[in-house]
Amino acid sequence: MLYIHNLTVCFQDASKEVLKDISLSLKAGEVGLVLGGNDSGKSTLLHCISGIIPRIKKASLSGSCTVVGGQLGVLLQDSDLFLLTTVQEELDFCLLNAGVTGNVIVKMRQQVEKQLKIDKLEQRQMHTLSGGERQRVALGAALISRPQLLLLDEPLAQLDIDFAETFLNYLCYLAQAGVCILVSSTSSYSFRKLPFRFFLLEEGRLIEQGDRKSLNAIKEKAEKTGIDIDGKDLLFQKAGFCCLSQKKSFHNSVPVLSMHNVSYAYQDCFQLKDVELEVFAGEIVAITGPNGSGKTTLLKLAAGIFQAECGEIQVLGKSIRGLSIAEATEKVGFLFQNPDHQLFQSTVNKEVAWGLLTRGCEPDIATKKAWHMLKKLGIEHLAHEHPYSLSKATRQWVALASVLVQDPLLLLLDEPTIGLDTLAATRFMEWIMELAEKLVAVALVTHQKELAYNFAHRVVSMNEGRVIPAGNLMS
Amino acid sequence: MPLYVAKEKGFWYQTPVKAKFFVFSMLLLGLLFSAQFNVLMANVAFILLFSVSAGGGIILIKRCKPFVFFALFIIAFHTVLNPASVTWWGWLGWEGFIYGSVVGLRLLGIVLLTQIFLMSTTFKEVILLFSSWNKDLGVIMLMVLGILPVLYQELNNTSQAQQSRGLHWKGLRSKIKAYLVMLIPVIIKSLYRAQGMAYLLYLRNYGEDGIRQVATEELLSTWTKGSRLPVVFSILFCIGNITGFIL
Repeated sequence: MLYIHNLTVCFQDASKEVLKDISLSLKAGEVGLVLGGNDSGKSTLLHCISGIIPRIKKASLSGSCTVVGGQLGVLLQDSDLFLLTTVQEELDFCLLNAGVTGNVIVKMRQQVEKQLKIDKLEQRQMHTLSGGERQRVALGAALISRPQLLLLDEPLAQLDIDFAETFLNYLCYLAQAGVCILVSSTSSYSFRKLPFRFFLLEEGRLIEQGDRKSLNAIKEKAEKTGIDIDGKDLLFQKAGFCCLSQKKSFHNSVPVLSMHNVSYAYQDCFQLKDVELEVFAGEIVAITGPNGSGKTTLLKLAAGIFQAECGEIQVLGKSIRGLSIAEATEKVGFLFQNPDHQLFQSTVNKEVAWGLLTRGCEPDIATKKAWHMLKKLGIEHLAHEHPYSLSKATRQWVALASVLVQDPLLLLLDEPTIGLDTLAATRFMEWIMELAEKLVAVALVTHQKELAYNFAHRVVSMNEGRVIPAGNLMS
Repeated sequence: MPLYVAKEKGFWYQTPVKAKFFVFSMLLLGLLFSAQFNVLMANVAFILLFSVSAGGGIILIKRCKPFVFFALFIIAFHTVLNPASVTWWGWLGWEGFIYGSVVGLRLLGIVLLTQIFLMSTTFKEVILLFSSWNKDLGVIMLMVLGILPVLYQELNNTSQAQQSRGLHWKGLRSKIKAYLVMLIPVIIKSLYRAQGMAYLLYLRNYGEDGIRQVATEELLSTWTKGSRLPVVFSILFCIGNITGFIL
C-alpha cells in the first residue's frame, strides 16, 4: 500500500538533509511505528507521505514515495490546530469536501463520535475544548472519511490513560479490517499491544527496522536516541533518581508558597475550591490530575496572574493580594506550557537577558548573567541564534534559561516536559532537581504519572478544582 | 448589547438565512421607492407590525429609540430651516415638514429592517450566505471566526507570561514597548498557525480537486415551508411600491 524508496528530503533554507535514503514499505492491514527522538525526522516523513511536502511546504525531494489507492487520513502533531468554529463543522468539513451529502454525513459523523467518545462535544466551540478533547476531534477528522491509509503523528500525546487504551484497541480493529496504519512516536512502550513493525530514525536516517520482537535486541541503541522501550519509569530511575530514601520531610521549615482556603471562580463557575497547599524550600511538589481539573489555574493563582476570590496566598511569607503580576513574581519563576508565549527577541542571549533588564538590571551585567545561564544549561553555542530558528525542545530550554536567570526562589512549571523525548525530559528534570538542592521550591504540573512519582518529593492530585490530600511519598 | 437575540423565538428566527436576506432586500427596495408621505407612513407601520410579529418585540423598539429622536430632529430641522417651503405658519414651513417626515420615516424604516435582520441572524448565518455566493469567501470568513478567540487567548497568555518575567505597564513609553513585547510572539505564532491551517486545508481535500463547501443545502434555500408567506408578502410589498412610484 505504501512504498518509499531512497527518499531524501532537504529544505530550501537548510544545508543538511532532514531525511536521507529512507526505504520502507507497508502492506494493507499492517501497522508501522516510526520511532525517533526530537528532530529525528518523523514528522517530515509523515508530511512527505501525506503530500504536504512538497505541495504545501516547499523542499527538494529525491527518491520516490508512492501510496497505492485509497483515501488518506492524517493526524498532525500539533493537534491544537483546527479550521472551523464548532466540533460538528470541523468533522463535517472533510465529508462535505469529499462530496458526501444528506443523511450519510450525519451517520458517518455519529459513528466516529461514538468511537472517540466525543458525541457530547458536538455543539461545543473548538477554542473552548481542552488539549485532550481537541486531539480527539482531530483524530475524528482523520478517521471520519474511512481512510485506507492512516498517518498518525504522536496520537497519544494528550490523551488520558483510559482513553488511550480504548483508542489502541480501535486501531487494532482497524488494522484487522485491512487499514494500513503508520504511527510516529518517541515511545514504543505505549504501543506494545499493537502488532507493529518498527522503523527507527536517527538524524533523518533509518538505522533499524524489524518486527516488535526484534526491538528488544536493539534496545540500547534505541534508548540512546531518546526512545522509551520499557516504559518511562524504568528509564527515569536509571537516569538517577532511584533515591526514594532521599525523599525527606520538609515540614519543619517555613513554606515558600502557602495557599490557605483558596477559591477561584471564572464566569460564575468555581474552578478551584478550598485549596490548601504548601511548598517548602528545596521541595519538588508535583500536581497531577485529569484535564480541566484546575492545575494550571492553581499555578496562575500562585504567581498572582489570577486573583483569588477568597483565601490567602503567601509567597516567602508575604501576601500577594493586590500586587501586580510583575510585583508578585519578583522572586517567582513561571515557565508556561508553551515556550513560544514569551520568546520575542532576535537572539537567544537577548531573550534570556530581557527579564533582568525589565527588573532594572544594568545591560552589561544582564548580558553576562544570561551568558552564564546559557553556559550552565549547556546551550551557550545557541546564544546568537534566533529563538524561532530552534526546535521546540530547544526553545523550551531557552524559556527555562530566561526564567532561571532571575534566580527565583519559587519555580512554577506548567507541563514542562510535554513534547520532549525521554532523554531530554530526563535531562530537564535533573536540572530541576539540582535547583531543588539549592533550596529552590518547585511546583510542577504534569499529567505524566511516572515523572511525578520519580522526581517529586510530594505528589498532589487534583480533581474538579479540589486538592486530594496524598501525603509524603515516604509514607 | 449582542446583535443576535436568541431568546426571541418567533417564526422568523427559524427561517433560512437566504430567505431572510431575500425578504429583507425586497422590503428595503420597496421602502426606497415609496416617496409619498402617506404611503411611507403605511409602509413603516407595516414593517413595524411585521417586526413585532416576527419576534423582535420590546428589544427592537428599545433599540430604535435613539433613531426615533434622530428622525424627530430631522423633521424639526426641515420644518424650520428648509428654504423650499412656500406655506409658512410663523416659523414653521409645511413643505419642509413633509420633506423632513419622508426622510425621517425612511430612516426609521431602514433602521427597523436592519435591526430585525441582525437580531434574528447569527454572524455565522451571514457567513454561510456569503459562502453561497463565493465559496472561498465563506470558508475564509468561517476560519477567521474560528481563529479570533484563539488569538485573544494567545494574547492573554503572552501578556501573562511576559508580566511574570517583569513586564510592567507604567508610563506611555513602557506601554508602547509592552505592546510590542506581546504582539511579536502572537504574530509569529499566528504565522505558524496559518501554515498549519494550510496543511489541514490540503489534508481535508479543500482546494482545486475538492468541492469547496461549508454549509449544507438546506440552510441556503429561499423557498421553504416556513418562509413562503414572508417571501410572497415581501414581493407584493416591493411590486406595490414600485408601481405606486411609477404611476
